[in-house]
Amino acid sequence: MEYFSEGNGLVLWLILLLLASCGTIAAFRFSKRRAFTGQTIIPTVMIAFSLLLWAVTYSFPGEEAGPAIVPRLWIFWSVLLGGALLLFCFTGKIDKDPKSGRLGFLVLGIILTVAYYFAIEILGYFISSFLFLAVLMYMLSYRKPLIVFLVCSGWVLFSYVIFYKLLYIQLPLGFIENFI
Amino acid sequence: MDLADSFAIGFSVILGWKPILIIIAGVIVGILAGAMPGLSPSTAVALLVPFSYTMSPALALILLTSIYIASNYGGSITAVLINTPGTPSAAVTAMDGYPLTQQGMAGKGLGTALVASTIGGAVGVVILILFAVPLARVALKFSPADYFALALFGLATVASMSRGNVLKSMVAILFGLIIKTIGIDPISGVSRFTFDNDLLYDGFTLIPALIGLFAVSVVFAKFETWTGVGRTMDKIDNKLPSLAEFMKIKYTILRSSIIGTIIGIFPGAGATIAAFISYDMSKRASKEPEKFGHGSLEGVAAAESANSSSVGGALVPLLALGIPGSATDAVLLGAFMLHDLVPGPMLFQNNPEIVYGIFSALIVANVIMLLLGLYGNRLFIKVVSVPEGVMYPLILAIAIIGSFAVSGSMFDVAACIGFGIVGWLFKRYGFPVAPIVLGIVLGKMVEENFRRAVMMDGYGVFYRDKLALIVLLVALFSFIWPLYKSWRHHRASKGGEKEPETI
Repeated sequence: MEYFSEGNGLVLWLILLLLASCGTIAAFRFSKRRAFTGQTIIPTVMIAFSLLLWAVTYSFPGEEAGPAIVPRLWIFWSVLLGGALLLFCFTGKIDKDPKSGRLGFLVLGIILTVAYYFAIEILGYFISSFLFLAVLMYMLSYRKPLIVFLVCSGWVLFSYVIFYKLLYIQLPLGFIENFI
Repeated sequence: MDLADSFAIGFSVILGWKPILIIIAGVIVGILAGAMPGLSPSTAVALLVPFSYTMSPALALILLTSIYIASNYGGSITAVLINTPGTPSAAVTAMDGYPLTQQGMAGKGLGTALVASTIGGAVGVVILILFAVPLARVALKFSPADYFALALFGLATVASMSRGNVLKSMVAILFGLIIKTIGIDPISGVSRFTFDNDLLYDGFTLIPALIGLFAVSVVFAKFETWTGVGRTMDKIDNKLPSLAEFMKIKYTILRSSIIGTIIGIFPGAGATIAAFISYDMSKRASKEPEKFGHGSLEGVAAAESANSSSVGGALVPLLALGIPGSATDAVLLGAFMLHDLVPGPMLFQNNPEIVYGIFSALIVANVIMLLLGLYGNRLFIKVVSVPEGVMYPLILAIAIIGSFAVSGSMFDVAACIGFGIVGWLFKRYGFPVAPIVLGIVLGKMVEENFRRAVMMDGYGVFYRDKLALIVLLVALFSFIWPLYKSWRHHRASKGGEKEPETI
């Protein structure tokens, strides 16, 4: 296993695990057990993640009660229990996947949140927070312009006073920093 | 130092305009957060941790414990008024509280919930003091092997008492434990699973992970089920129950408070299980069991006194042993760590002002909660009616700024969003997120004590040390028993209707 613990070996191990994970999920997706596909995601990813870390533990110094012992213990159990969950998915002894809600809406919400993360570094915390709140409220069908403006500016003012001034948190200022 | 001296120190911490204002603020925030469906006590405390950074440790913890105790009552407001429990444990309150509203007696429902919560909370605090102080004294003699066994027992009971699938709870715990191993090894100093990334050397910071798992995941889950239809509240009457009605339910409140506290002491049991068990026992003991489920004041009182008293119970293992008994306790443990404090027996010796300050604050918070509840319910209801289209964006904004504020790092913000997505995925497929948090929180304690015990006395220490052996056996039993029960249940139902989600 030591070959897979670092460098090219680790990359190869990662690729193998990714292929095996995708293969497992795809096997469920295109089989009679497709109603359990979602349920397989977490155990499959857990097993793959655990096996990846298992390989990495071989780069740790080997000693009694050393740094590898406890991670290996957790990894062993997570592979075992994750495997048991996969078995239950295979035999259908587990809840079927829940009905999908508005996944597109959720993805849009996550994209907005991630965009907000990047905007904080570029536009600074205050401008990006104002925009983020306004856009998110619009997305959630809240369309009263005055209230939206008051909530967004109120939050910006609140975070400026409480976090920036009182708690001395150096919130990112983005490009504004060049003009101050 | 005797108990009276300790309490003198405790009350000296909270007597002053600043601590009292902090307790009032904590109670108001707790009631409002508890009343908002989707915001659990753990979410509320996690979101408010960043606001406590610059406070002294004592004041910060007083604020957070006040939120904790008040949020359990807050959950009953929407449960009684619109049949939408603000907290999971308030689901039991809704069973009788909402029928009262339908009968035009919402004031009686809310009044009973308030008084039962106050008495329950007070009983919980008294039992907390009676149990935690001697337990902390005994715990001073515990060896690393004992601590390892106790932490493992905590994790085992969390898994076995989780609602839903036990196997999924265990996988969630293991996810948290594995996440905790990322970073510099606390004993040898070797960097583990960091992939040469400097940002991972300290592992994932606890507070952003908690905020992501508890708050951001709630918002993401809401996005998926978004209908755009908000909740509405009708006008309510404000007529409280009469003294005679309170006298009729006094034993129910007392019994449920004691049951709630005792159940709360067991890690993982929590307010919801306490409320269900107390409700069931009160129904059995009641002279009018037929009224349960149709607007019984006894039903409301049983549920509310049990869920509020469980707070005191859940704080026993946290304060005395450093083992969180519930998700909210795990968040509180994070807050302790943020202020460089380690809950456990040494806290009683080194920082009695913190421990007794918390005890005193809990007593005062109960009284303030009663007063605010009596006179402020109408206002709380108005605030809780804030449109969801405004509330959820604000929760995300608080979560992001809160994660950043921990160490001024955008990596923490990214981690918070990442844990939010993980939390949503786990919840979607029936994996509880509280065990992840307990895994993260207890991971270090389990590992350090396990390795110290082995380094000092070898692997044999776990059967030579009698306490460790007994606790480990009980932990093993707690792991195996629910699995065995599920397996038997599954076998029994095999012939009949197929019953999934049992293993």
